[in-house]
Amino acid sequence: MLNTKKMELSKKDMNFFSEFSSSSGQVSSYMSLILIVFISLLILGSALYLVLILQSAAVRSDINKVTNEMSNQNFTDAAAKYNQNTADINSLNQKYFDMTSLFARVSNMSKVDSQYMDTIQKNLPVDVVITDFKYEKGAIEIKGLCDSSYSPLDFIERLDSSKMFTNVDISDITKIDITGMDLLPAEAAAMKPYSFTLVGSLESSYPVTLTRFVDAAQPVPLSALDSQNLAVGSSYTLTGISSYTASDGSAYTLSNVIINQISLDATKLAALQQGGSYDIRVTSSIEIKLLYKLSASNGGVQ
Amino acid sequence: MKLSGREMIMILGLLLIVLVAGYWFLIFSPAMNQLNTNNTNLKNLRTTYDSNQAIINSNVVLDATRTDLKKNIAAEEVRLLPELKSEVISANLSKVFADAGLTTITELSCASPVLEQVMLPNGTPSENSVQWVMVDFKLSGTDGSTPDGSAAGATKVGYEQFMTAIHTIEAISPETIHVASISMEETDQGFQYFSASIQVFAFNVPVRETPIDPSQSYIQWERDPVTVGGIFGIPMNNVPASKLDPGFFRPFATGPVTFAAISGPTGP
Repeated sequence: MLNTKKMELSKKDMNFFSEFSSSSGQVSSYMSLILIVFISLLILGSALYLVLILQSAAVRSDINKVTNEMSNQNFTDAAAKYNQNTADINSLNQKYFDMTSLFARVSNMSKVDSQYMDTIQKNLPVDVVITDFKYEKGAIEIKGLCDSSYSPLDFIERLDSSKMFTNVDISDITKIDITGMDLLPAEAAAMKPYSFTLVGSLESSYPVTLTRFVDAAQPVPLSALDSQNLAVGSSYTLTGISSYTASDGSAYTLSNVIINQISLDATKLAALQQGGSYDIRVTSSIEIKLLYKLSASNGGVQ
Repeated sequence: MKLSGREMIMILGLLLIVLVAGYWFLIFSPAMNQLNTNNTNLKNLRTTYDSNQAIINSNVVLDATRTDLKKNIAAEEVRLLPELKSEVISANLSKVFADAGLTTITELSCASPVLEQVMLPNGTPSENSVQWVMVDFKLSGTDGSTPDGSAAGATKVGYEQFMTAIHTIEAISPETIHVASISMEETDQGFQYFSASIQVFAFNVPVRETPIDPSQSYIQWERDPVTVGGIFGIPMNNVPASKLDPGFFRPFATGPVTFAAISGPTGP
């Protein structure tokens, strides 16, 4: 009985130790695996870290390189030159605008066109003697003597036919009173009995000026002033103004149109901005101011 | 205390996680952040560099633009005279009338120059301006009968000659010289008076792109050098004898007035 118990106890011990030794083997194999994983991770981590460090160093090197390039004398000089160029161009643009504006004022001043006098001379009826004339500010006043009261009318008809005058008015055709002149009969007979005064209005024209400005609190001229004289009643068409490329290559888009101090209404402006056109009838001097803003897709340097 | 195998594995696993987390948060992430920051800085720097490079490149375009603008301004500058010299303008225009046959100028006047300026957007006048003078001529024609000093003794000068002069003036420089008005006045004595108002324009530009050419027409004085020696005051022997008045108060006189000193015809 006692032996049997000892046998059973020794079997139990053996089982225990065998279980123990089997578990210990599993643990050591796990430990090895964990160790391998750990070492692998260590290597991977170190490699990643090294890559990051190297990349960082490379980027820092690039930064230093770019910084050095930006701070070298050539760039500083170029930047200074750019600033100077920009200032010069602004100043020159203003000057160009000034001069074209001033020249337009000169061009638009009323002046004598001797062709009108040539036309008058060519169309003078044979019995007419011009005694006085005055040509200024787009009108010619003619005073003269003639043999018949029809002569000034013939004269006017011929001037009308020349199409050079918009209108020729008769101020007066008067039979001259010779009673108080103490003329001899022969002298009185030779004298032209009628005097007349005519006023010829010349073809009227008005200046149409077009300017382009940067749309800002203080508009800066973008181009020279465009000026032309157009006959009354003629039409001036605004077209192709939706964008503008300045001389330095900067692109601008139309933001507003001001005609004789009044902004164009939104519908008409929108049409112009989309490449449409707008007709203006010339009945007086017309001053057109186009305002532009720098395009988002500007090709030039902002 | 003995740890079971599972417990051991769990502890090792936990340790591994802690180590990995420690590596991630303490080593990898800061390095990664640093790299990202550097990359961002580099990107910003490159953007700045590119825009700077664009600025450098644009200098070529800007130089060309500036040159073009200067050429355009220079072309504008020469459209009008660079300065106004009333005496030169009056002398040249007088010569045009004289060449056409109208040698008798009865009145010539030239007012002070008028200045026109452009207002800048800030409300101040621009330094560049245009100036103009109006030269008014009144000229006498001739009757063709009365001796007028011509080779023929008397020649008729009238409308034809006047208009010849006007045509000539119109053609001199249509942009610079304008004939503002013309007129004719009958005398009823066989001759006429002719008047012409002529405007001459100049750019007044403090900083010119083109130098002033002093030999330019209507700038350069073209008459022969004058002989100097004029005097102040009309001497007695230049006063017509018939106009001398012995009764005129002479504060310097010490005795009765005599005209002995006058050469030529004596006074009354």
